[in-house]
Amino acid sequence: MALVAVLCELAIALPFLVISPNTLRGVPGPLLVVVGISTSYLLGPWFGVPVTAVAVVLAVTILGENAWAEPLVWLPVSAVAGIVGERVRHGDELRRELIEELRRGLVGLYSDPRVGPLKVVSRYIPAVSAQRIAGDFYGAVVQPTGDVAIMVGDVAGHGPAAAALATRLRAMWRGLAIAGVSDSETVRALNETLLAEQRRIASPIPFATLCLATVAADLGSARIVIAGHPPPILVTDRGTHEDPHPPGPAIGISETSAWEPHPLPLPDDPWSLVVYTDGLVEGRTTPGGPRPYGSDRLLPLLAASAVPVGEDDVEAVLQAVLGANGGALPDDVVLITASPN
Amino acid sequence: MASSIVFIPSILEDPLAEPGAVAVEQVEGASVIALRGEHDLSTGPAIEAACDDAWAHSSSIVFDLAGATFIDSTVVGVMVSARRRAAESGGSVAVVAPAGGPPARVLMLVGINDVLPLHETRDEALRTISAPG
Repeated sequence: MALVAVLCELAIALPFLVISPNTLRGVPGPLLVVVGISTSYLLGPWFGVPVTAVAVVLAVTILGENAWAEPLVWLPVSAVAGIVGERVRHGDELRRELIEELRRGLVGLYSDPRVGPLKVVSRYIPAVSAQRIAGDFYGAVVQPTGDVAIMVGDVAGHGPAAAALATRLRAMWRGLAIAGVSDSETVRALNETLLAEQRRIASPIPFATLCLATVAADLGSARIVIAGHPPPILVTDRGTHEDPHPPGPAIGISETSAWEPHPLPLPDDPWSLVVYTDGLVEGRTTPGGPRPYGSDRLLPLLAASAVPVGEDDVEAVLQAVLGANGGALPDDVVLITASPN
Repeated sequence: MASSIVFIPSILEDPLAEPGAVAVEQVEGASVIALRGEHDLSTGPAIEAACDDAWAHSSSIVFDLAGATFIDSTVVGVMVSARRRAAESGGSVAVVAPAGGPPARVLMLVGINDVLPLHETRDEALRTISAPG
């Protein structure tokens, strides 16, 4: 018993080895306890509970808060605050990791911009808020024939469901493209998949848009399939050419939809094929001005770029669009250019 | 004649944006959801709420986009979902989007006009909804 009493006295005396009683005059006792509990929340219970204990001792002994039962109340509170704080931090970390991992699944990780005979420059700007995740996705692969398949897509809607669905559609496209399945069959299969997903999910993703551009191995032409997506733009020294074919419907709307590829002849001169998602052209025309920016403003920007359109030109186009909007765009943006090596 | 107007405080999220407005009214046995101004992710929940309100009053919905200056895929998504619900429950959905206008361009690009015909005027849309079949 004597030992316990000595230990208690030591515990009470301990704070005064580092804090002079004079410095604490006028400090309200509850403030000390709040400091202790906050420490526990921010730094965890193992550090926070002892700090709270010290704070309670100071409050009781120095400031005359003569309720010795206080530690019994405030130490458990501090412990709970510490545990909650750790949970919250752990949850935040998990959410960041999940979003990062989902985003990684939406886009390719290319250290080398060369894809077969093409150089592919891609930019992906996630939506304004780092905590919000949208469903833009893209990829580029070489097919068994030597053709290069480029795909950009956009799942309608936002949040984890849209992003997770987008990663599944992208993985499926990639598998079909590498296997050399035809573009119209690929889009049909993606349509069936999305329709099946809609039956499965309680709050379904209403539709998704796709643009497939497959550049022939001889670089003489490209095959284009569009499912409700902005058309690709061909940039040459002579200007820009927006693929004029009427688009097919988005996927996930109807079982009976069908998509046929149409040819896009490629010139002998240097060229770049530009594909993008609507986030690029849905900003404002001027800060505070009307929406959308539109492809009619995008085309002159691309026409002013050097051909082939490189990293710097892509950056300049993005800066021009962001500048007109007066800051970050409200939606995801994907911008890809493919040019002969 | 139930009528409700919901003003969206999207101005809180984006100080540059004019708040887009959603209005629901009952016309000739159909619920007409009229959108004015710019509509995107920020006004999506209000349009969905308007749909719930509309379904509660009738099995036919007309989306009147004649006064909308901008719609994005969020709005198209709500309309596609409404069409699906109508197909399942025996209701009908019609869209007013004058040709050449910004909403019509977006709807044609997404290809929704294949399954959900676009009408020039509200009267025309209401006629197709009341017509049998």
